[in-house]
Amino acid sequence: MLKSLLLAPVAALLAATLSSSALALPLAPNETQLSDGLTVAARHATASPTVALEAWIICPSNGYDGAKPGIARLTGLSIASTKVAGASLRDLVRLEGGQISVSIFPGSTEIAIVAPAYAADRLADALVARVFHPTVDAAGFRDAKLRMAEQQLLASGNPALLLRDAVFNTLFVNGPFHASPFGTSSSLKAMTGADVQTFAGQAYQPGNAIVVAVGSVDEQAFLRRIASAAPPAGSVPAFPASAQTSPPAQPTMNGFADTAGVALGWVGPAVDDERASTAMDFISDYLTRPSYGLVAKALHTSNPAIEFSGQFITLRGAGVFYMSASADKLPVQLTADAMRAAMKPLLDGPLPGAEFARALDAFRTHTLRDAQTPQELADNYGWYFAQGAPAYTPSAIDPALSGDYFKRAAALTPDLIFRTAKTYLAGAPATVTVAPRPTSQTTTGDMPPQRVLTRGGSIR
Amino acid sequence: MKLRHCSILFAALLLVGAAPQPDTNASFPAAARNALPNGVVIVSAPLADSPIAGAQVFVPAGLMQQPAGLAGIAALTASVVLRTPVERGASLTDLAANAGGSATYTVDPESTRFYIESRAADLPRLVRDLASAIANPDPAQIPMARAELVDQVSETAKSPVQVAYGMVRQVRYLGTGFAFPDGGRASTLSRMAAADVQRFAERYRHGNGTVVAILGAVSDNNVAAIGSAFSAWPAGAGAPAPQPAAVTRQSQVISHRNVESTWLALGYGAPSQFSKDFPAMLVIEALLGRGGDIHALSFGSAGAAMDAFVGTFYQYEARPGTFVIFLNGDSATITQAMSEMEAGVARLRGANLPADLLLRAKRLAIGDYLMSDSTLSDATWLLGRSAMSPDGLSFESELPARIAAVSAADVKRVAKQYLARETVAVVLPVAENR
Repeated sequence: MLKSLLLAPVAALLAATLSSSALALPLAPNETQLSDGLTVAARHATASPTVALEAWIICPSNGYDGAKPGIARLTGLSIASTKVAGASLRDLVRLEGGQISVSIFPGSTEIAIVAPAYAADRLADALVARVFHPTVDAAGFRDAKLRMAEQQLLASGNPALLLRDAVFNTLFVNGPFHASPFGTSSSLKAMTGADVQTFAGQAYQPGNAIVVAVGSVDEQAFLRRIASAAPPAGSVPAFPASAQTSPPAQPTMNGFADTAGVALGWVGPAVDDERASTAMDFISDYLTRPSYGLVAKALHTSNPAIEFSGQFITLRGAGVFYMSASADKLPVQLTADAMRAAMKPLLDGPLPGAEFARALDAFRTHTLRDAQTPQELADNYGWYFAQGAPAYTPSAIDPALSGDYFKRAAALTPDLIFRTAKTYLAGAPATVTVAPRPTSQTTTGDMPPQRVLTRGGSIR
Repeated sequence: MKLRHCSILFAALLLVGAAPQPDTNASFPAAARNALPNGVVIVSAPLADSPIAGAQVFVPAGLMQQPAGLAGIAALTASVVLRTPVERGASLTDLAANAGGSATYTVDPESTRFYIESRAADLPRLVRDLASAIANPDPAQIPMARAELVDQVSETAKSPVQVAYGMVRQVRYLGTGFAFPDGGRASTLSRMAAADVQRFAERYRHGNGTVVAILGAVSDNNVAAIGSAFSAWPAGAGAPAPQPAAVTRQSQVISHRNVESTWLALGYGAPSQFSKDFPAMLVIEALLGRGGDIHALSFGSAGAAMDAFVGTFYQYEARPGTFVIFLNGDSATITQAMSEMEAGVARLRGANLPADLLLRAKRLAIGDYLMSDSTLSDATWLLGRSAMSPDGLSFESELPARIAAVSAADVKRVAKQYLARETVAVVLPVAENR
């Protein structure tokens, strides 16, 4: 039923080819491109004695042929778990008291380490070696399969994750943005070590990646270190397209979760329209920020038990704005109506001048507060690189807020916000739902890590 | 000081080659300390690369100081303070939110903390608003604050880990307000009146014991303006926190909840954060808490990892501290896990750790400690703690070296001294009778 609903409006396809080439793009301050194509971002930050080291690789989560849902996740997890000289990357990070996470988005993979700053050099060496000379052994592959199965199980009960994936699945008719980054259990079962090694060989190429270090590090020394370890350049297959489709008129039911839930999703501007993308970020902040946004507050007032989330996700081909709500005994249609009703002040006309000025200040402050830790800053270097807009990263923060992102924010006006909201959010959204499981089964244990990127969005 | 979820880390720890010496080179922002004539301490660290600022205000009345029969008054008072109208009818919470910032509270064992984060330009005004709300908490806010707390208490009661931790505290902090659930109970909350809130807020207003820690994009003028918000507070100290009755024997507490499988908490005494034994206990925590594999304590014996090990929680802000190990699983698994854990603790108490294992544990403990300093909120908390420490502002920067200096004999001595007379809290599924 789900697939037939999604495939019905194929006639309305809008081509949205998502190219992976990041070459010759304007870079942010603190970013450099090496001769082999590898981009490096290094930034000294003094607030924390830690460092965030990240490698971001542009690659489709379901493989270059679209036939292996979850291959990017299995590959990232396998590389983190494979032992080289007796220790895996995971072992090395944990020995330092650090944390490692592998995050998979439809169009990119992030391998992130946060560790005490004194371990930055040895962990950066290990990260670059493991990512750009990827090897997968049998034990690492087995460990990755177990971890991925656990993540799939946990995600299968989480309404927020299911709803977010369902929004993408509904708005895109094919390609990596249609597929869940968690993959499927049958695909996980079928994938082999050779599949993973092949995918790593195709995707984990320097011209396709950025290495980021933020924290208590020497920027120049880090750059020299990465340059000296840089791998040879290689070629990367073309990134598969994801085509948009008009959402079905009726809500789409997407199976069962721990609680009932509903999400609304709209296609927004592509990242290269920085003006509109920044306006969408403002709109998202104004509507969805917890304890602040109009929709967030309206739902909390109606029922404090509702879990609400929402975001504009900046993407290469077309951004996505979505909001989701879940709770026991959630009245799905009423909640969807309440979300849309709470958006009205932005759709009825330009905000009054004083309110807009206040909200713009708040938006800037939120953005700065959301980019305060080494990992938050590093995430936004990685995310915007992966979207082909490295210079637009909100992590380019200086005292004068002179980076591209904050210049765009300073240029926002009430009229622009109104026009952007009318353009992208006035139409009928994709409406997706999940229902509570018929039995009393609940999911227990840790969820896979879910961090919310400052402006770019997070699709684990 | 968060609950950590553990997996198979210690197995990895044991498999990798020889352990290098722990690194203790960690840089913390340079800070300045200033005491007002009334005893309020202002400690600040400007950061050139931070565009925002945070202020952590510690006031000297927390969970321990809650009077008998008023469980929850600390949280209720703090909530009322943040809801109190301070500028043209707007509360501090709303003012901070409208400016893109935030104002929150945390009830600690011996203090209440208010944390405000905002643009630097807004911070002095918001901190002044906080001082003003503390001076005159609005009784009209009590019903809303109470309703919110009752909801939180109800949610907390669903968490088996929280229930088990609460049961451990009930035994180990008998005679203090820390024996009660953090948010109190619906029955006690319903009885609280405006006078109770006013009295508890009065306990905040003492120069001695109040610490304001400021970090971020702040100038000397900002710091002075923030300090002036507290200059009218009376000098002197509030009533000291009561001491709990000594735990002289093992005890077991059992509760039933709607959980799928049994949860168990083993609670021990532990040094508090300013004790000379604190670094050694952090090493023990690294061994027990991050491991998840009881064989890490078995000095070379081998065995399968324990899948019921959930993690540890080291409460070192309270005096005395508490160290809790959480287990979860079916009856057979949990019985086996508990027996292995107790055997491991007994070995820690009975013999010196091998040198290599000690080195790894120290490295992990230092890493864990530095990793706890990530956000402005974390950093202001650490800065405030250092200001309260007998060692002063060097406390945080010296802690890695103190951990590195822990010897095997220290670990054995501290384990022997503290890891005894355990309190066992068991949360059983409703259907099980034992």
